[in-house]
Amino acid sequence: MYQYDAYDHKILEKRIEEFRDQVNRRLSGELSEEEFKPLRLMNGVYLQLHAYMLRVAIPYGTFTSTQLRKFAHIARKYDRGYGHFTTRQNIQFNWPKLVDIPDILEELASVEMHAIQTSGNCIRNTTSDQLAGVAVDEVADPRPYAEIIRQWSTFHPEFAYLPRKFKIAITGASHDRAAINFHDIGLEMVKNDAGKIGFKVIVGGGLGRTPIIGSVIREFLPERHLLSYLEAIMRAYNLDGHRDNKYKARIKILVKENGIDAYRDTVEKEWEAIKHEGNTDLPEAAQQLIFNHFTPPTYTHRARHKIDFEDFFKNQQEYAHWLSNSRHDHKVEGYAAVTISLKPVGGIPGDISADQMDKLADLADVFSLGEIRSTHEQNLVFAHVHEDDLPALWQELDKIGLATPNHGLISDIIACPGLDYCALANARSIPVAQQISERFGSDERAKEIGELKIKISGCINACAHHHVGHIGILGVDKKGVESYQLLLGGNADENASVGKILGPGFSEDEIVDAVETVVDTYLALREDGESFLDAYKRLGAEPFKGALYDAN
Amino acid sequence: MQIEILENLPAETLHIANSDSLEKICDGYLGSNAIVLNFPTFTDGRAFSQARRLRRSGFKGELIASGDIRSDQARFYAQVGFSALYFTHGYNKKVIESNLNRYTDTYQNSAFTESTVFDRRIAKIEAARLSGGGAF
Repeated sequence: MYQYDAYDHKILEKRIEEFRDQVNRRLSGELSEEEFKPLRLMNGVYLQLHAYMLRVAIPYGTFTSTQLRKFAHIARKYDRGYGHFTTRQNIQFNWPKLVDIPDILEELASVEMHAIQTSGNCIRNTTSDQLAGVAVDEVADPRPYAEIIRQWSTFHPEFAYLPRKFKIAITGASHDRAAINFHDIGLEMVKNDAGKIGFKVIVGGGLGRTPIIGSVIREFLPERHLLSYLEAIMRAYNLDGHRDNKYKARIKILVKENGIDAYRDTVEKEWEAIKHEGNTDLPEAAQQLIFNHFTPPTYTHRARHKIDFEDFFKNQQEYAHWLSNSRHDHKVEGYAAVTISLKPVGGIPGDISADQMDKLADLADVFSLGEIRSTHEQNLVFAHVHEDDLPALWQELDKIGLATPNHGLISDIIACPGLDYCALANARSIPVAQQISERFGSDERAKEIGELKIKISGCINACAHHHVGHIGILGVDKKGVESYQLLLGGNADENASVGKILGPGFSEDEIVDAVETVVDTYLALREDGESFLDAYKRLGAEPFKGALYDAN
Repeated sequence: MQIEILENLPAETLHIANSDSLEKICDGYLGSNAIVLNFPTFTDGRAFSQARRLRRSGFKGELIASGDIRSDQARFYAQVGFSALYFTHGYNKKVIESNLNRYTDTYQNSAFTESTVFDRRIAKIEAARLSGGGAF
């Protein structure tokens, strides 16, 4: 993976020096909160309901065991002993003190991490496929390009104050695990007829108040022109995007209002001018230097970690269940990628304790070349595990409470922090997620239900992507009382679709029953081997509406 | 990096609204001695892109950022091609100075840097190769 050189280190060091000065000016009263706000927002520091929150960037969701140990240390020393993985592959700390944040940033910098542009109306962390570089359905590894985008977008002077935040996702695989249709820019690596690598560029997707599936702006962009094309898209958006209304300020509205064809014309014209200037795309040698960091590892490792056979044979059904949903095929024969669920039954989606982090870092060293991935579904991944090591890994994960066998199943829920933390929320999300995972806590039942993605947002801003949940839940405020709307049929992958609201909302006491009614209706009506999403597509909303509302 | 702080605007300056996307830069603009681009609020970054386009089109005169501009982002103004700042409210000269001088390397091409971090990496390797030091 990418390792900083002297330039990267120096830029980070200077940034911390600058931010420390800004924090000092705030603490001394020289800067008001209003003046300080844009400065802290350039550095991932939010003011939440109860405290400051620090969001740390995990570029394209890849990090090392050393970095994970540093998260554990930060959680222990500066926070309340845990961290929270987000839907953009980042990690958040919910309780840091402002005065400590410059020190935390120094700790992070010592392991080549930062919080730059994890908030604010700028280009955010570029997200990617958690199986990048090892996926069997991959045209090419997207991570070198994600790193190029990271560097190019870091402190981009022109795009520091866009109309609104800007999120880019990139994948190299045909099965979309990065939700590229729902990002401001989605990049899919493709090969053209001549066998050349390039990008299919999608623009103007997004969730929030107005969920929109992105439009293709370019079917094939030669890979060497990535930055010039991104710059053209960004410049057109920076100049023409809505500035008067926060809720119309994302690029999706601009694209929708102008139409993709008109927007494409503007972008392509600007692109020609940028190419003519000739100083935005990287020289080949510079690009190669970044590629050198992503040479695939040589796969000879095997942990040969000892297995407790008695325990294994006693619980082998459980193991088989875990394996069936947590193991993923790997490019290299004899190896597998493994999802580590951060969704224990009754737990908080995405949360992980400092002790778990430390132990997981040790396991990553033993089993997976010291590397960990975070996913946009708030789970983690070991991407380089020898097949023979799977039983031992499972036992070790189980010891630290990280072998929940529910990846992709009903209790693998995405939830936003909701009213428990967030100042924008209308309703709590976490307790609803906890109750649903308890209701469907039995492995047999979850297995019978099969693939089902539930996503719960505590307000219309849709941080938990409820629009693209197979079952989406949206918390709203109904005359001072928390109420939950149900949406069905959303999908974030290459068959992108936006879920539709079924009908009137449910109270906190009713919502889990309502989900169960939907699930039971599906189980009663499904055909052999039919997933929830396929059944919904075939049946439409009516039978679900009938089951939920007609009885009353 | 450097940028001048103006106490007064030059006599004949052309003011361009930030809603003008400057897709077509007219000769009138390019012939001016000084152009003022406006930041109605500091969070409205349109003038950053306008500055880039004006410089790309060959505008050589004084390019002035004005309106709700902030000391803490002096280097952003300089990087996109502004040559001067005209504050209509207070500013902190020390902050401006340190902001301009703090970062000597940038990942993006800009009006002030001859080379980006990407270019410098290549140059460094090339220099090492020529001095017989080998790649590192």
